[in-house]
Amino acid sequence: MSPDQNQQHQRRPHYHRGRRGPDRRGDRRPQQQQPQQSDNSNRDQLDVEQIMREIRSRISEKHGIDLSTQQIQELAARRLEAILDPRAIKPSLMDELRRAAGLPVDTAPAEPEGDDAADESALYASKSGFLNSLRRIFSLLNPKAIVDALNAQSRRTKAVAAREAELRKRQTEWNALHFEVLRRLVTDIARVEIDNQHLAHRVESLQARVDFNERRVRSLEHSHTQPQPQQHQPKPASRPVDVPAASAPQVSARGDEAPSSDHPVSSPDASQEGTRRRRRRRRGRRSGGPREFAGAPASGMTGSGALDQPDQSGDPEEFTDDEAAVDDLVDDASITVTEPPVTETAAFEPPPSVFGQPSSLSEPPPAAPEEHVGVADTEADAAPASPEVSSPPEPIATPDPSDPLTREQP
Amino acid sequence: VKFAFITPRYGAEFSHGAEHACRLLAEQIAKRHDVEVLTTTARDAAQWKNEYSEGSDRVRGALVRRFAVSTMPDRSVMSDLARRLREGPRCRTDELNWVRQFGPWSSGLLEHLKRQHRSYDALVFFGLLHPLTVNGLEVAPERSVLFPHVTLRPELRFDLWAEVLTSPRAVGYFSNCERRLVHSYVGVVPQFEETIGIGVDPPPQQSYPRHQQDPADVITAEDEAASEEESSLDESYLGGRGIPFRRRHRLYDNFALFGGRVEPGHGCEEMLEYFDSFANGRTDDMRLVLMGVKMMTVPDAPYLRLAGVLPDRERMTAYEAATITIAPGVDDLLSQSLLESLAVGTPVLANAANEAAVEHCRRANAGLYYANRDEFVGALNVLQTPALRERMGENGRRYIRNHHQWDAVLGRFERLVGRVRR
Repeated sequence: MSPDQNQQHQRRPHYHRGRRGPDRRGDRRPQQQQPQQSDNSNRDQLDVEQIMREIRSRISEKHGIDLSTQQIQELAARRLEAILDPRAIKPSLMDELRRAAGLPVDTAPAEPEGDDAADESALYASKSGFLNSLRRIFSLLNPKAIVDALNAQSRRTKAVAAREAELRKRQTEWNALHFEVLRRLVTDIARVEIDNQHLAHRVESLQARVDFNERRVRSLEHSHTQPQPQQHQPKPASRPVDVPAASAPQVSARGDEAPSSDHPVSSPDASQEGTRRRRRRRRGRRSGGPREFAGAPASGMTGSGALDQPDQSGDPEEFTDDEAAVDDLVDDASITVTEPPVTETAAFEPPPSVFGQPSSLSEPPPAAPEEHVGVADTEADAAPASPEVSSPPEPIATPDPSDPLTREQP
Repeated sequence: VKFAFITPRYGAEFSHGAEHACRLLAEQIAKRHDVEVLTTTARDAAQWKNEYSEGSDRVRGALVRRFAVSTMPDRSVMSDLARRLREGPRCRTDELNWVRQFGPWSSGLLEHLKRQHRSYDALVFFGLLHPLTVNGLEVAPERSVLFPHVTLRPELRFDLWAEVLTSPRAVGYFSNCERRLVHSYVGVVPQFEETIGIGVDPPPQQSYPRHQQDPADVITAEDEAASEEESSLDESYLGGRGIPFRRRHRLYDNFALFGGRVEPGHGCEEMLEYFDSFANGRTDDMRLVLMGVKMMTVPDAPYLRLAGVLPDRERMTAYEAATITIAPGVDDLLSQSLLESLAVGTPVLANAANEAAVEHCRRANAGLYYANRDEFVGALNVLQTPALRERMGENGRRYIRNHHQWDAVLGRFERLVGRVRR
């Protein structure tokens, strides 16, 4: 008896009582096979191009048909386009042209059949000698003129044939030249057509990128001009306004750059707030509860960093710990802390250096954060090969072996 | 069979282009044949600095020989030359100079190729524009195979490429659009050519252990009841698509997934802009999840999630969990993320500017494509239909099974190389 079988109960041993896959369910689940049979019919019914045509027709209905002059011309030239479209060119067309151009030139003139020099005897020629002499006796016309005419006609025919051969030879050469011109024309039109399509896509792409950047600029302007709720909260009276910079930790919210001494008020707050927020954020994730900070970017965060934080909306179910660690890593690498903390704080509590001068939101201190952020973003965008880090390259900055599209070397 | 794969760069960090395709093919072919990769010590395609160490190393079955780059290109000279070649009449000497400036120029590699080429059964070159290809093909054209990995760029108008593309014995493509580009743009029909593509290993459908079929196995009523109970539990929750990813990232609604480097110039900005238009017009919680290294600023939007960098297995789970995968890349001939998404049955929304991706969508009937904002929004709205997604997903799985499993890809490769060895 096989150790794998229990003949008494005809049952599988315990280690075979696992979950069965569909291949072990026998014929008791015939519905497993039905989708396989109907796959072909489903696939036949589904046509991606048809769906795309419907989408495009819906879009055109929505926007209305507004043909420009160029589009009308394109429609008028549709037949020509069908010929010249590189994807619609018959492969045999070029072969036929090439074959026609490569035919051997038939330059030999057509030879007249028989002897083309007709003489007088030919006019009276006969197989019968009697009949031949009878024709000569009763001849009333001078056959020489006829013979001369025929000879002249024969010479002309030869000349015409020679000329025709010359013309055909020239025509063949012209055909070869035309073929070459046409070939280059078709190739260039195909290239231009492909370039044109590529450029059309590129225009759409650039338009979208312009819109994207405009939206980002608006978002940045909005985030810097809007007062933040947590800064409106009254501060304790015992807290000094001008906290010495030495008493506060000399690291920014991200800890990678010391704050500028031009803003002694906001920098310690920013660094403390940033550190506190970071601590709260991690604690909140571990506990799974809602985060304590507001959705608006806090002071100490640059515009770029604020935009890099889609997880700051206070949604408690956004990230887990592991993912948050990755996000922190990415955020740390992507934030360019090239500016002092946000200047709205200075608008409410003007630092001593600007105290006494008109201070308002519309007139920020000289180090305008918008300019810094704009420059940083532009640089980041202008150099796509490098991640947006201003500090020395971090693990994110260099091509990472753990990139999802790469694999590790053993 | 002993192959020599010649590529300008080689390494796991290159996730695009001919280098990536070379590595994918070399790792798979090394399981069946002897593969030597001849490459340079360069890592950066702009400067071609020698960053790797010279010498030999075995990486995933393939022997990698690295040679130093002997001449660093002068970018200003190359740009001037390129402009002159684009605008004015061209001559072969200028075009060859441009190729040499384009780099990398490794005299050691070319010397090795000249001396040792008889020890290889076939020389497989990757990338068209590099001097390693242009000069290396002259060594043994009758035993050479070229994978040009051609994308549309102004330099493709050079007359040199027609000569380069006709010199090898066979030419392989990664996409049919690449083949059309060679035919219609370069104006060349190689002697032997075939579209090879790349392969995808679909994950197993069930992760639980599967036992061998036992002929004496008799299923009792008790087993059946237990099985039904387990299967109902499995189908209700654990058997759902991509549940581990959804649980880990707390994504319980529909979401669109982008996998790859989040960087400008590869369609990410357009995708974010278009998705914003889509999300603004909706009331449900359709989200966009970005998976991969973030190398650009992304807006602070409530629908946007960053999934970070995931290993291979979790990446496939993420594709499986996604409602839709977006492939905004423009010049991605390989379309690896698209194929991986199709392999797990997730429909795709691809950029229409990428003809390779559009072709996959059309052939598989498993994805839509967009050329502008309206089409993006319209296609995403259409893809909200679960029945349509299910059918597309099934079509995608079948397409990958039939055309893009590694066995099929390697079969096509061996057929192409068989032309060389005859």
